[in-house]
Amino acid sequence: MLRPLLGGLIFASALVSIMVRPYRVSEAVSAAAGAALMLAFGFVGIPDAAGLLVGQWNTFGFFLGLMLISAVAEEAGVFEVLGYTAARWGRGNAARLYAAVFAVGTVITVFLSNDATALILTPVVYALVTRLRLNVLPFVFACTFIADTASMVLPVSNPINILMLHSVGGSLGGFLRYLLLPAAAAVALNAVVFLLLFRRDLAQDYRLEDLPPPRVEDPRYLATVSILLGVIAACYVAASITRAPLSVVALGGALALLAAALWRRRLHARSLARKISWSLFLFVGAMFILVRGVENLGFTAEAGRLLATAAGGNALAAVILVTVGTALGANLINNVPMALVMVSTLGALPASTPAVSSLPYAAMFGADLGPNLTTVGSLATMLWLLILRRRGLEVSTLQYVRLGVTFVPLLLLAGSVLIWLRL
Amino acid sequence: MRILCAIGDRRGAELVRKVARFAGSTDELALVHVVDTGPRHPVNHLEGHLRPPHGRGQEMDAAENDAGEAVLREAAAEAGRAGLASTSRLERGRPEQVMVAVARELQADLLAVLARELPASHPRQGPPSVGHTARFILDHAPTDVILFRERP
Repeated sequence: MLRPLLGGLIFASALVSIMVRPYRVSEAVSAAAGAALMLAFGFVGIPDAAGLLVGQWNTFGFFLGLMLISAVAEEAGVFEVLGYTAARWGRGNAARLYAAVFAVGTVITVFLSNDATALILTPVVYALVTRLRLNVLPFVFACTFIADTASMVLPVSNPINILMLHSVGGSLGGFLRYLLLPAAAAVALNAVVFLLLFRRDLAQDYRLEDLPPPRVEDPRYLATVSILLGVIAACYVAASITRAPLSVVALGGALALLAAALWRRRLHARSLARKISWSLFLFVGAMFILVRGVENLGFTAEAGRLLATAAGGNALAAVILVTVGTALGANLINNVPMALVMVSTLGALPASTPAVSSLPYAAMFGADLGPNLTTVGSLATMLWLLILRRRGLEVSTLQYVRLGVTFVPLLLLAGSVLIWLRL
Repeated sequence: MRILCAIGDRRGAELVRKVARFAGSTDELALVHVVDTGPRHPVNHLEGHLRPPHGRGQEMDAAENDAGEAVLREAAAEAGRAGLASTSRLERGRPEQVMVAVARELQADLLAVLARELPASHPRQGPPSVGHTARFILDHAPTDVILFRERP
């Protein structure tokens, strides 16, 4: 009795520490401390933990390859060129520019992942829009939202997809079957709603001559990197179809890009190393051990039983519960631990559970979109407070709450129904 | 008379043109543009603790400064065409608060502000016709304020 209690306490404490970050302790350190306690108290055996981490080589390799690819693409000027191209497509109209930013953000997210859009494209668009003297907030909102809503188009669009797909033994076929339509609907809804919402701010023109062309220090290098990115994208699709490990494509692509950087004398190891989130590997590895600990204690199996009971034999209810539950959890704790908990929980479901084949994909949908709730909860709180400040009487508190509470849940519900329809 | 002109992102020259219609030839215009640092917070917040820093702070600073200096140059050129002496000043912070603080610091005789930077997308009359920055300045400025509205 005490052991499950202790194990649960370790897990809960680690999650709370990840959420709250007491004394500015990083999420990775909190997770690692929790994992160390799980090992120390024997909730996870060391050989089990080692096997678990080694078994996730595809996930870790993919993360590393993806970050290297984004870093090289950024250094080559790919994002600046894409931003400038969007400004040209806009032809002096802010609403057209907005649509173009959505399109560019979607393409970057689909092939280079959501982090590339959120972290690299957002400041590029910020600087671009500032120079064009347009209201920057709607564009920041566009980048941050599309980074998540477009991250369900392909497995490679979000590292969470790879993590979950690898853990459940899913396939590209299953992924596209259940998620392509919800992903397309999410992207379309996102673009339309935001274009309507920000139509007043976008009723402006701009002069392209206010924007200096992007400084491309080495056009041949940029061209080479662009071609290699295209090849990597094609290889991602091919590897997904043939179920070859995606980490091989990601790392191979990264090596090719690094070779190009070396050839053009543009390889700066220190600068590159700073672009890699090394703490992410510690965090993900520690989370695997933490979740294995609660799995060994039977918590996730119990959660699976509760889920099956709550669904009551209804396929749609099961899909909605998994989607919304994962999204809420991703919003509260972080989408990595939530994804791992859901993988373990769904793995414990009996085969007779309705819609059981679709539930891992419903969880992916929730984990990918969930951070938008966090966005609504914290980042968008800041953004909307700024908008409120600017618009004074126009945007009431009620409107803000209504948008925050309805838009993302609406996407979640629409996606759940579309997944259910694919059964 | 020292007139502080609250230069926004786009219509600084227009504001100076309106001020020039009644300003005397010995009046001096203090052209002040404030880079709103508010939108930077959510962008910096994206970095998080499992993501590396985006490292584009300098680029964003440069974009903000260049855009601010461009709008000040336009406003100064308009003042020059009207034969009015002017000084330009670029600040950073919350525009409404900085404007009020600078007006106090310069002991401006008058603070000139547009009701809205984007009048076309708002009603021409009623409370929504005055933007937040202009509203704050009207409420808190330590000097007389002249508010230029779009004609209905």
